[in-house]
Amino acid sequence: MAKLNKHLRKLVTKMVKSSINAEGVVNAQMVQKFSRALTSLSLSQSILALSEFIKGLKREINKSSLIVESAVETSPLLQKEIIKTISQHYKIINSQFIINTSLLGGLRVKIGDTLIDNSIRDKVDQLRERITHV
Amino acid sequence: MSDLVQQLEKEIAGLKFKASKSNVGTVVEVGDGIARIEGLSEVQASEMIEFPKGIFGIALNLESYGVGAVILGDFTQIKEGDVVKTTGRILEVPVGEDLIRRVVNPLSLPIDGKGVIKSKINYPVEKIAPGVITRQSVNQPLQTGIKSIDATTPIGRGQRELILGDRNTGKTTIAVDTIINQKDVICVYVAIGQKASKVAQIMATLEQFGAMKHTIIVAANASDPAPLQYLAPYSGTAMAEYFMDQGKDVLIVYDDLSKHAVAYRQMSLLLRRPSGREAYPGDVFYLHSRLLERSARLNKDYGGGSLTSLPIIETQAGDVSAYIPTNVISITDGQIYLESDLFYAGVRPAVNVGLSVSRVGGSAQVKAMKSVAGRLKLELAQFRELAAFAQFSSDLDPATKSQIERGRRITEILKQPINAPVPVEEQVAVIWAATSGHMDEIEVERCQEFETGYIKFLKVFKGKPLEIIKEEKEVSEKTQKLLEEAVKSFKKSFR
Repeated sequence: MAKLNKHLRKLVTKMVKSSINAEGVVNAQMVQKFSRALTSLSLSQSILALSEFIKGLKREINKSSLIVESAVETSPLLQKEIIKTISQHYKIINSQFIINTSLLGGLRVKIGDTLIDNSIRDKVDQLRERITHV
Repeated sequence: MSDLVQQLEKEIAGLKFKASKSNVGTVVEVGDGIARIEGLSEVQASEMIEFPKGIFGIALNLESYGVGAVILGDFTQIKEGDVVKTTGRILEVPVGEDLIRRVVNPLSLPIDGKGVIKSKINYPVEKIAPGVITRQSVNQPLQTGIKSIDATTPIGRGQRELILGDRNTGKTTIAVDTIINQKDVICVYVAIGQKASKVAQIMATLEQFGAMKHTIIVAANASDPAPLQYLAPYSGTAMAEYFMDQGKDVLIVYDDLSKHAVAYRQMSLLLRRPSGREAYPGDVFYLHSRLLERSARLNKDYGGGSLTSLPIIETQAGDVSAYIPTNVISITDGQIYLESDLFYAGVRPAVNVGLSVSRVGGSAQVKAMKSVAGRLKLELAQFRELAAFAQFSSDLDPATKSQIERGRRITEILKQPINAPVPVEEQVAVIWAATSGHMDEIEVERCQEFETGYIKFLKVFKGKPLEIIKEEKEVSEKTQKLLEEAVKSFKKSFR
């Protein structure tokens, strides 16, 4: 299986960092510029480098993306309150509010790789785990 | 029933609900017991990760944008897109007294249908081996009950003695017989990649001889996924270490490390780690060295417990120079080499006394055995040399002839049926009789018959020489005279 050149890997990492500005927003022009540069490589290296670049960007975007799941629809006021509270600890660029009835109640918040679960479903799971050990 | 309700109520009352915070990732690829996960940015190497449906895994490859993990369960239930959580725990298994008499899988879950194991103590499966300060040299013997081993390649408590040989040469039998012979030693038998029927058979044998009351069987059978087979010896060692930390002597059998290496090779190749000789990954030496280094004899300040290990390696067509056998030979403190030729010639156990060595066991051997075994080894070495030479000449001088004849008798008395361990005092008495020339006039074919009768005779002989050897742990001149008297009287009645 073809592998990405070590130096190229380092370069791609730098490109990913340069594509995100200080506020955590993706700079579309830079992304286009880097993508063009990577497509000029040999076909195999270009495919690998581009996929690594996309993965890196995805991860960076993911770091500042807030996903809030709730069993019922949340009011705009509550949404604002949630974003305000979370942004005290995490950088938030975009947010998404999803209705997930399987949570039964409460909220499940995901930002980057961090998941904060305060749903009824999670509490039921905690209870189940506790009593299955009896 | 009411107890259970009360306990449930107590558990529920004690539960404090709080929002859980965890580091998560998403499964992007799954198959053959391996999963690739995107995310899990805070996962540690060898950390337990939780898949949906209560399935656990271990994070092994930490890459820039993801994690390569092995799944310890039914990987067919995991699908792409599933959320995986870190647990913040390095893999642990329940250990303790409750595991004795039980057959468990590498996660310490019972597979013998005898109910739940209620152990509350957990030990990590991967642990750094005891250091120099905590150890002391091997100075106490671990009797296998097998004459050829106890006499020529003695095993000490805390030693690592490799058993290697081709298939069907009696490697497992030696290990099982050693377990049967133990009285004050806790035994752990780890079956890696074995047929379930073989494990059941071993369990039945141990039950039959009452050895299960001090034994734990850890089984990762051939049908279990490679990650479980990889984990089995480490889990078994964790269970054994618990008893060692309690100051007890423990024996662990790894049956066998060749299959363990194969399971690890499968995992490594699926995790896309670079392969080396015989397609094994580069750290296959470390895989076994870190496992076997955990065998130790602790000094009194650390409880004085010991962990003796008997790793087993299966060779292919007697090739001891293959990758895994040479690795394990270099790690262990000696090896018991079993040969197919000897096995089919009727020498059972088929121990090749010339190629088997014990590097540290000699200092642990009881004085009585040491005094008779020295002569035995010399006689056998001379016999081997002369026997090879005698094949080419028919006319031999009387001294050579008698040497060969004695060698044949000694070889005969080292034969032993399976599941019949011999106490050390009986071994000493028999070897003494053979090496002192008292069996020279007995026909080779009747040597075993002589041995059985002689032991029976010694048990009722006045002066009780066997009890004296057992108590004094040496063969004094007085005991030698007593033995001489006994053997002479027995020979008169032996026809």
